[in-house]
Amino acid sequence: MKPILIAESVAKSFRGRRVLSSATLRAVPGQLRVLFGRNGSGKSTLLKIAAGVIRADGGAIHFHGRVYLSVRLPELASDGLLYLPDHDLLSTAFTIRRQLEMIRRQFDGGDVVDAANQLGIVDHLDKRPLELSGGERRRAELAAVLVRRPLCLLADEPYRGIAPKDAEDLTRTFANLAAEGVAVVITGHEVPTLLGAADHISWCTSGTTYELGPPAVATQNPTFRREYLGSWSHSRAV
Amino acid sequence: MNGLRPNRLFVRAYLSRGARFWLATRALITGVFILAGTDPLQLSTAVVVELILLSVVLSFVDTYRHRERAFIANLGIRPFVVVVLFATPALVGEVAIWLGRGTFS
Repeated sequence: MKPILIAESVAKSFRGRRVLSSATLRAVPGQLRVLFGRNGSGKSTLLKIAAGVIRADGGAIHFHGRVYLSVRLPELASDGLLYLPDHDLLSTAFTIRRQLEMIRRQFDGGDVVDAANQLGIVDHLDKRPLELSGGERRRAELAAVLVRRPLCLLADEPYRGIAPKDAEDLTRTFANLAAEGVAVVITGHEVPTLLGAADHISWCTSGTTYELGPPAVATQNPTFRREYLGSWSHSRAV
Repeated sequence: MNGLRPNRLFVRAYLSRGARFWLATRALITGVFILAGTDPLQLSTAVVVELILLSVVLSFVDTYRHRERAFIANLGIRPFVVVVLFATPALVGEVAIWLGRGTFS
């Protein structure tokens, strides 16, 4: 299937330090894609550029049939993109219910209580995010995704600070979204969880990206094994 | 598409925040003027403009404090729209005070 989002040949430097030289990110409807990369490799930067959160020095963003040299998140969001940042998405000022309701009204989205039920946070709807644990906050963010019903979801390190059980539930939700036709791209370091759920693996290293293909193929790549998976790949005999 | 118009729930929430910060700023300025022995209802246009700007800046800082930038952007709402929502209660309030001053003086 054709990608709905392509951040193509992206370059970005911060204060003279080149983080990305020619990196490409693709989001394909119906696929759960995982972008791996060591800390500081530029994967979060690439995701932010693809979402219009920061501007690239070079390259182009193709989204939903349009090409942008420079674009901001509100423009992409109004066209069907949802970006989950590497910090909390929801405001600490309002209850979860109020924020989900804002999303529902803004996009004529799905039912708030249904979404909260699916993620097991219905008892927390009238609380503010700061009253919830890290795992509950991630669930609330995913409830926001279900209410929003985006065409494309970019999630930056959604597994940070959560228990394995929450990680399992999150992964199931991401996989379900992809099965429903959403183009999902996530970053993270949870190798077993992500390899088990992904349809496609990309690897961000040395300022560029490599499309490694399905997990079974990706884990056979000797450079990826040596430079990213490390001892994990030997212990699992992939 | 250049972003979306905000829904009513969002408009109410952000107008209300703008109003709270304008009231707080107005109360502070009023206190300062009373202490200085000046009529707080007789502010110059420059002071009124500064007061409105200050209340908008404080409201905007509050959105950073609550880490709302990504949430607002994901709603398809541009920062300019949020600034307008924050400025509206301050503008309406100052016009009301100006009209009231003309009526009751």
